[in-house]
Amino acid sequence: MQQLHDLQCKLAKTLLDPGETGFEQYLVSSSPESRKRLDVYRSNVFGALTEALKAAYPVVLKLVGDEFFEFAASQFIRRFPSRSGDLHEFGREFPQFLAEYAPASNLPYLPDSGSLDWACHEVFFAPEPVPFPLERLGKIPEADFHRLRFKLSPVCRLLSSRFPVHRIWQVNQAETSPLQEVNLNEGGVFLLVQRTGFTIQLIPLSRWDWEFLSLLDSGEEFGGVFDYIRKDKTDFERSLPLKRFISKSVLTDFSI
Amino acid sequence: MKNRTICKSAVAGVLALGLMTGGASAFANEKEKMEMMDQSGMEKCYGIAKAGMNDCKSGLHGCKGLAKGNGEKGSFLLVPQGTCNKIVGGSTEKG
Amino acid sequence: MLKHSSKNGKPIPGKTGIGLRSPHYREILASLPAVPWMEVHSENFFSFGGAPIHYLDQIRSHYPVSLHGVGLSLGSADSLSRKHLSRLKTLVDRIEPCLVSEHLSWSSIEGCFLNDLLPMPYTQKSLEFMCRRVTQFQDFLGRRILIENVSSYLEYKVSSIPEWEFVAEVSSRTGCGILLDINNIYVSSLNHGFDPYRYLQSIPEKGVLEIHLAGFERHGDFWVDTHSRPVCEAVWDLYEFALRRFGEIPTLIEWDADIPELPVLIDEARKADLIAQNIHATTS
Repeated sequence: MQQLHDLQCKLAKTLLDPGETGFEQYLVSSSPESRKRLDVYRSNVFGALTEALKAAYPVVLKLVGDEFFEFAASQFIRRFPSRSGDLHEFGREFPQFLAEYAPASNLPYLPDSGSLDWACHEVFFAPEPVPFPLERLGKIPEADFHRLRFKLSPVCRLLSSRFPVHRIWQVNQAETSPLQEVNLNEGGVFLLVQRTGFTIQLIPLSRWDWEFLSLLDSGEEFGGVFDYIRKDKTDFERSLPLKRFISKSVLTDFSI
Repeated sequence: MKNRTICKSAVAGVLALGLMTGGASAFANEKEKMEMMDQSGMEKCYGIAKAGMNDCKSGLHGCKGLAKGNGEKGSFLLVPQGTCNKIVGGSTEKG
Repeated sequence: MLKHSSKNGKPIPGKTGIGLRSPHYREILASLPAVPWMEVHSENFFSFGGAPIHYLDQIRSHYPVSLHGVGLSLGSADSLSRKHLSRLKTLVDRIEPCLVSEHLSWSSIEGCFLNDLLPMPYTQKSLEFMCRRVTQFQDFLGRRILIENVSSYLEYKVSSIPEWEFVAEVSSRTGCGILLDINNIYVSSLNHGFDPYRYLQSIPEKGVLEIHLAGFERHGDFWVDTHSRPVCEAVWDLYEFALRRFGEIPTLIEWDADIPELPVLIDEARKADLIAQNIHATTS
């Protein structure tokens, strides 16, 4: 269906680029009217994608306001078009785009705030994990414990930032704290984002806990993790986080 | 070799949890708060707050987002105007 | 996994249902209104996590639910997305819907999605192509699906078949049902200058398995299918004509923007039921 393919390519290109006029020759209506008809579709396309982006990035939206966000979104949509028929999957690259978007350069915390928004968005839709398979773990020989690979819960995400993005998030939640101002001098944060039931929690972690979980999330073998972290602590102290994170449903599975 | 003592102690601790609480299902207990983690009141109940984005309506969005070019310096499209004014301190240099 | 009632497999009554939207979830579960069935957009439940699927499962245990897809891009020259098909099948297996539908349109090309419902060119070749696609879709799901006519704002020079004939042919050749969106017919008739009654007369008497009703708004020179208003008088008249022609057809009130309070939505459904009842009373 080459003709269909060509027609669809040309229409898609013209809808994403208001300056493009070449498609009007394929339409029944005459030229000034054709442009208006195409503009109805352009408005639909950019409108729907922008609304989806706003829903996925609510804190970024509040930080910059509607006008700024919508214009940035229109640039983003052209640069990183939607790749899925499910609009909830659209927008993953927005933090990366914001990091390179010159009008946002005086808001250096904006990309990381975006990353936190996206983490919350992913966690909102993530499937509930099954309870940790204790019985299966009980069957693993002790000699193989160091080869275990523990998995982060699908409803958890890890994030680090040199900015206090959790406070920036907090100041933009109407229902919560009376926090009215955030001072960037407060410094960075290591965050765990976790959904419990219908509630999403942002949990600041110690660097040690964050590195432990990050190494496991990257697929590191359990024994190997301890080559990298807290060598100043006793073996017993270093052994504790596993139990803690499994009991809190942060680690929910393992493989070997 | 490969931190075996730590691994043994860690896994033993996990398996002991199962014996104490009667099984893995206890770990899904929502009443357990995270004593060892700092919550700092940072919770949001999304519940039904997020509406589904997929639908088959057409919108009357206008062409706000379709402005061409980079706009003029100081154009409202390029100047953030939101709660960014609540974020103070630090350096404005990009990292 | 929630065990569903035996509403699966039974044809839904020829009565008017409502689109199930998130602002109404809790109220529906609390009050269990006398609505015969509900419809959701399939893609909103592709991810089995958290609140959305929880509410859908709960509501499904009380009501038949129809799954209406918007993102499969059936008419794209790209191959159908295996991932999208699989996610839909997983949802169909979980929800056991009374109906599964998609659109006679395309929304992507070369992997770039526009997430809008773009009209097909209506030619013999594209008709054969669309029939192959619908057959592939039905074979994958192992069930009959419904195809909905979309509202449109442009016509291609290359089109040689009227849309109503295209829709009828796809249905007759593939055995798929027609989801007739009467608001879309009316909006398109205003935008393109054809007679909406001619459209209805050209759709075969058997074959329409669901009807959509919705509201629209005028925007400049065009009428736009916004799903943001009550059904207008002209569409109610077309609906009455449709019921006289097609018989008692399950009807859905679609309201996706400026969503009203639940009683308002239910009232719209009752208006549709009243029209059906009056026809039955005068013809029996």
